[in-house]
Amino acid sequence: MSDLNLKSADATFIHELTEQPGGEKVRACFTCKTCSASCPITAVNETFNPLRIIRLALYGFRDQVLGSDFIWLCSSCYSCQERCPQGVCIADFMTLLKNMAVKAGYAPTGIRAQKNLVTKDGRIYPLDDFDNKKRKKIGLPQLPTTCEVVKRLFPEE
Amino acid sequence: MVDKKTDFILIVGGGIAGLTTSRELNSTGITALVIEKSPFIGGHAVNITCKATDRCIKCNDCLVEGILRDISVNEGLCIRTRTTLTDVEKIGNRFCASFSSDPQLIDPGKCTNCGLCYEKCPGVERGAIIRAPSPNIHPSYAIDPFKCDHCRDKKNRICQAVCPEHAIELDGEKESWSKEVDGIVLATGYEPFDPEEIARYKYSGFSNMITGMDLEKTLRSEGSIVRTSDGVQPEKMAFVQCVGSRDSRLGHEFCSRVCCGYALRMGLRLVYDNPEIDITVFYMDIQNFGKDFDRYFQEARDHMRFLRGLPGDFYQGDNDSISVNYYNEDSGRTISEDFDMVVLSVGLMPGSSNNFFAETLGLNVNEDGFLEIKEKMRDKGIVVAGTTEGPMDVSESISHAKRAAFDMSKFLGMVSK
Ligand SMILES: Cc1cc2nc3c(=O)[nH]c(=O)nc-3n(C[C@H](O)[C@H](O)[C@H](O)COP(=O)(O)OP(=O)(O)OC[C@H]3O[C@@H](n4cnc5c(N)ncnc54)[C@H](O)[C@@H]3O)c2cc1C
Repeated sequence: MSDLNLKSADATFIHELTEQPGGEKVRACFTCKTCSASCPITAVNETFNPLRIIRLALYGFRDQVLGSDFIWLCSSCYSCQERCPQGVCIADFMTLLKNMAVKAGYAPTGIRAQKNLVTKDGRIYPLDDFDNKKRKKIGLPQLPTTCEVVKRLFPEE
Repeated sequence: MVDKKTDFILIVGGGIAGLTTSRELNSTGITALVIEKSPFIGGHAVNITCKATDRCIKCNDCLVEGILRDISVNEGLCIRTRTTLTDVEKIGNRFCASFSSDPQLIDPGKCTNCGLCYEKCPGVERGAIIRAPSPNIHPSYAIDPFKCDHCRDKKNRICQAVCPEHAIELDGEKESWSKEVDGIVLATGYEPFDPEEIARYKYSGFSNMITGMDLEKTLRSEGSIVRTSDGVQPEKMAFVQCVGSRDSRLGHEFCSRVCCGYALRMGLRLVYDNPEIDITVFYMDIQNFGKDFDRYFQEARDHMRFLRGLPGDFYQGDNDSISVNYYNEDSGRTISEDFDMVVLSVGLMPGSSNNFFAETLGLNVNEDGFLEIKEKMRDKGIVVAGTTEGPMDVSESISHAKRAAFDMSKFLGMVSK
């Protein structure tokens, strides 16, 4: 990400962002860095930095943001959002970016695999008879091994 | 135009702004009464410390002492402490103001500031008699009726007995009174931000975390700073800027204008006192208000570490230090660093009386909570002085108060409109 060129920036990106839930207040960011300073991911991985993502988005680096791996590292712990003095909904903004990335066809393979699992089984961790047997043993109710209704959440591709 | 001889102005608030206005009005022959709710005049500014290193660095502390000295020698000024305004009614062109006064206990007319009461009082430790923060405040002592043995359970009357001037009367009663006045100056000032309002600072949880106001007071009274936990001088300190200011979630979008100035200057003073001290300033941007600020900033950069970015969280470190989490540019990661002491640079918040004035006098409170006086109000004899209108440092408050005095004289027809 060292060779960013403002010529490749897309000025419409920020308008698109501020019109969607989670992006409304992102322009209010005055780079105090409280978000990065309270982020548990930034503490262990320097590629994830909420402040930088916000700045990149504000400058209009659409492809660099949506196509990046780092937006997927957010753990949605809301530490940043709780602390932002400007009331920017940073965690919600990260969710917005992830949604836009999926729409733009940037979803990483892992996420796509998860989506396929959810569509197929209704769960990220599919249940089978073995699990139900174990549940029975400890007195828990049985769970359905398929979950058709969840499919309806995902439009046909 | 009001008859000149009867002109009488009420000044609410005996801080630096209220006192300046009264001095200015007095010099033009207008009588003014200053009411002050606390036992001492001077307001917050009397707690700030002189920050001189080997030379003056223009922190304005001495301006405050200058005004207090002027006030103490000026016979014509009326000041009533421990008094608040309870109501105001408009009667024709004048106002009828009602007050409530707690007993003065020490008669300023008789007291010579000998200090015998303070010396002999058995309750000084718990604050039964307090000493004014400046020797230029008269009387220099005040009795706190809630902590005084006599006022609580009619026990000791030691101070009253020892006072050589018979200036102390512990049996005083609360008093309600009223007075007609021609104009009102609102100079009730500000409140320093209370960091308890922001949970992540955990202000009351750390003995070695103090506010800028705590540091001002301690440097002023003790001359140096030690850690509350063990009484040892800190070797490594951090200042955190913009505490309570520029925070839209708290509804404080304004810059307090004085915090960069006082933090940098106190930092320079601490470095001068102890060149070994290691000071870090966490900031968003340095706001250079005031004369020669840039010069002090350059100097501060030579002696302190400036880190752009505010810390995230604060944790208990080893040996009662405070572990500060912040974003480190070099590693690109958030790191934790221990500091012996952390100073929160608290800002200037709107005074607690603003809403009361807005209601009783029909004034506007602006979106930040400070009082806004329109031209129309000035024409009715209501003006505002100092930080009641918004954040200002001492010198700005003084200029603003002079302007308030001018506006008031204009209203009274002393100056041509
Ligand atoms: C931590 C800190 C450090 C600072 N350091 C500096 C510095 O180094 N240099 C500098 O120039 N400035 C400094 N300042 C700013 C300075 O304190 C203010 O500029 C100054 O005190 C403003 O004076 P004032 O008279 O407007 O208000 P205040 O000082 O707030 O005075 C108002 C007075 O009115 C009284 N009052 C309030 N309500 C009522 C009521 N209802 N009835 C009667 N009386 C009432 C109060 O008791 C008080 O005495 C600092 C501020 C802070 C918070």
